[in-house]
Amino acid sequence: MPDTASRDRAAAEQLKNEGNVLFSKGKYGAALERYTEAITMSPGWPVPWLNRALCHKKRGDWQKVMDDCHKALLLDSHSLKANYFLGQAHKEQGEHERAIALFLKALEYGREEEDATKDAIWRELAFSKYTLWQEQSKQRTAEHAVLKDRLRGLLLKEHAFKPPGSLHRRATRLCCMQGDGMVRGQSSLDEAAQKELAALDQLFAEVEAKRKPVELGSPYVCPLTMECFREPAVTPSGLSYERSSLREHLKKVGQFDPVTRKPMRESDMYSNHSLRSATRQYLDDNPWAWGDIC
Amino acid sequence: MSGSTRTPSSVAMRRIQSELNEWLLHPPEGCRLESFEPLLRWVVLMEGPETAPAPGMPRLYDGEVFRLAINFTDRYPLEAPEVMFIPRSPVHPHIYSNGHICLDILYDSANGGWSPALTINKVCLSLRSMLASNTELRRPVGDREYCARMHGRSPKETRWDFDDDTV
Repeated sequence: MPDTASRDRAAAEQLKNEGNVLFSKGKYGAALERYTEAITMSPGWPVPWLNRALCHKKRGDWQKVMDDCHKALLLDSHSLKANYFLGQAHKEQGEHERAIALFLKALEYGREEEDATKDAIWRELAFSKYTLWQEQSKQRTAEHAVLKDRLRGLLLKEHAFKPPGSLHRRATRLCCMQGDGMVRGQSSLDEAAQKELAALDQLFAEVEAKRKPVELGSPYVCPLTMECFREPAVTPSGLSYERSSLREHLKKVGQFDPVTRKPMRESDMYSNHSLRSATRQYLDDNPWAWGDIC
Repeated sequence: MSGSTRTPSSVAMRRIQSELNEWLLHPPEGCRLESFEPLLRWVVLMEGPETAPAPGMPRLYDGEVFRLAINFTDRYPLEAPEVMFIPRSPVHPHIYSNGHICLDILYDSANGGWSPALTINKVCLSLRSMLASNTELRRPVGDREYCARMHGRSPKETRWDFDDDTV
């Protein structure tokens, strides 16, 4: 009966609007009740589910945020807000891997959204990426320390190697007792062992160094925001800037390229998809760099 | 409804913080940060350049140290920072005794040359090379009148004329 359905939907819209007014006044409990009524009237409409999830979020009720977001995602799997709020709920529970997947989906589905929302999601993504990296890095450092000790032990055993002091004494003794040939054989064996141990140390040092933050790679940093690119845009001068910052510059400072000062308009800028991919790759290779974004 | 937290001022604060980190890693030659608290107000100590404008010419500011006040606004970097010397300012044909500096990159008006791609680091380098290339110790024409007229006001309120490129 389409008539009843459309009447119910109209009533639900009315309730949702009342809920929004209450929400904007900070009356989350009362807004929540209106959204619940709206859901009862029109359960197949995702908006009141999402708005109610936002009320739960404001009240810190993360389990209920998850429930409502799951429901909204069943109705519309490409919803930016449903993915975003669900991601936040997982982030709050310390489940960063799930949060990251959801934030990425939200950014993907939100291509057309306003920049402020995407920026907020980007920073939450950075937080989860950075936190996850810190946790993994700590664990790996501990694992590697154990592994390194074991490997050293095995190498020493293999070469029947004694601590350097006693070795030297033994080598000298051998020299006195048995002559040159024997000593040379002994010391070349020690040299091989030393070499392997040094290589082992270097290997672990290199792995460890990769986990240490260094300076941000400048090709991936916008000259205006001085942060890693999120959505780079390229100008006729061939330079790239964060899209939203460049747009603001053209609107408020002047119609010129910020670095070269060559005249340009907003219609002259294009999304730099290659640099965007390169920046994501850089961030994946250097996860510590997420720490500067969040 | 999403309640985004990014206000214009947080854009400014992030950018200033990034510049500060960059400065601490690679400070411009001859410059030191005396203070950056609050973050919107920096004071830079600038040593007079020890190089002469040309071989055989006197080094005008060798051994001197000047203090530079930098004030950022909430709209930084879209709006130029206010940059001026804290008297006693260097004696220079483009620097008034009240510390106001006639240099186009410091101002964003129609004829100004500020760009958000500039940084305090680059501004300091420009100022230092402005001192290094100077050949005569004198104040701008009308220095006393200008200082009396501008008393206590920001150099950003001045309508600058940057056509004098002789120095």
